[in-house]
Amino acid sequence: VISLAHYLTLAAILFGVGLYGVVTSRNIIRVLMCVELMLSAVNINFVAFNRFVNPDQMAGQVFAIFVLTLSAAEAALGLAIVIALYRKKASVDIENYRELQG
Amino acid sequence: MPTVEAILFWVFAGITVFSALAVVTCKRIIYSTLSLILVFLSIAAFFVLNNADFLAIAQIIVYAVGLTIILLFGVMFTAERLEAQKEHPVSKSQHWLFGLVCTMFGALLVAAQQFPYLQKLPSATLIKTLQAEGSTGLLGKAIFNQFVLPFEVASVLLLMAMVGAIMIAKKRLDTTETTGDVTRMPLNLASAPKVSDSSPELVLSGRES
Repeated sequence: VISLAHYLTLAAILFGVGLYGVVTSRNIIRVLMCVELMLSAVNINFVAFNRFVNPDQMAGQVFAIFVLTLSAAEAALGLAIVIALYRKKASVDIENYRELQG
Repeated sequence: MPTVEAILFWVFAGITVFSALAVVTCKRIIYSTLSLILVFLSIAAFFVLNNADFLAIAQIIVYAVGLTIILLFGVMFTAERLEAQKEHPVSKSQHWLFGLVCTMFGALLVAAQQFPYLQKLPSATLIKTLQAEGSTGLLGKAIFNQFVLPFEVASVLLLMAMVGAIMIAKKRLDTTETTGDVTRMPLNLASAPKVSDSSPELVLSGRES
């Protein structure tokens, strides 16, 4: 029988994979994708908690919808920043973005 | 005899994990974008398994179609020759950090197993509603009664993000020298030996010479 722990483990694995991608990848678009992976993992957790812990209220699903909204906004803004940066640097390699390194 | 839910869970869990790994490890960014679609679709399957049918459809529309199309546009705009660079930029400390985070996640999961959740079974009326019409109506009632203020704030945020994205990404028309010629710049950067150390002004002056 599939329990809450199964979903939590799956979401943790997905989050870990996304985190690894954020840390290791050089292409900034891939970094954006991995952030989306992490947000999706969080969404799985929200929905699973909603079903297993409090099925009569829809709070978990509502929060998952808000996460969906936020991640859409984040992706649009992030990609706009990537396009602007690419126009300036002609590269999507994060090694070339050194302005904010301090 | 495993239940149908168990079979579906394990099948989609395998698809999710493998395609997520493909997103991270694929050499060519276009392949990882395409496997990202697969991740999003299988996550939508998990939503269906958890009685969230509206969320599953929204996931397919927003993530698997909309977001990945935007990402594909980004990938194709920034046609990349990064694949030639083999070496990983990961330092030792980043590996340590990642290991630490993974251990913390493992500890969290183990702790979560010990913690007695207040697991509740759905009430009879809820089961009847779910079987008759799905969870979409319940979700709509929850959004427009209990969560109406966050909903409105989210709509304003989406509008702001849209306007902001357009403002950031659009070419500045009044200052032609800062925008540069996008189509020609990679050619010159390929001939310039040290790309990473040059400021944009240097790159532009190198282009003119």
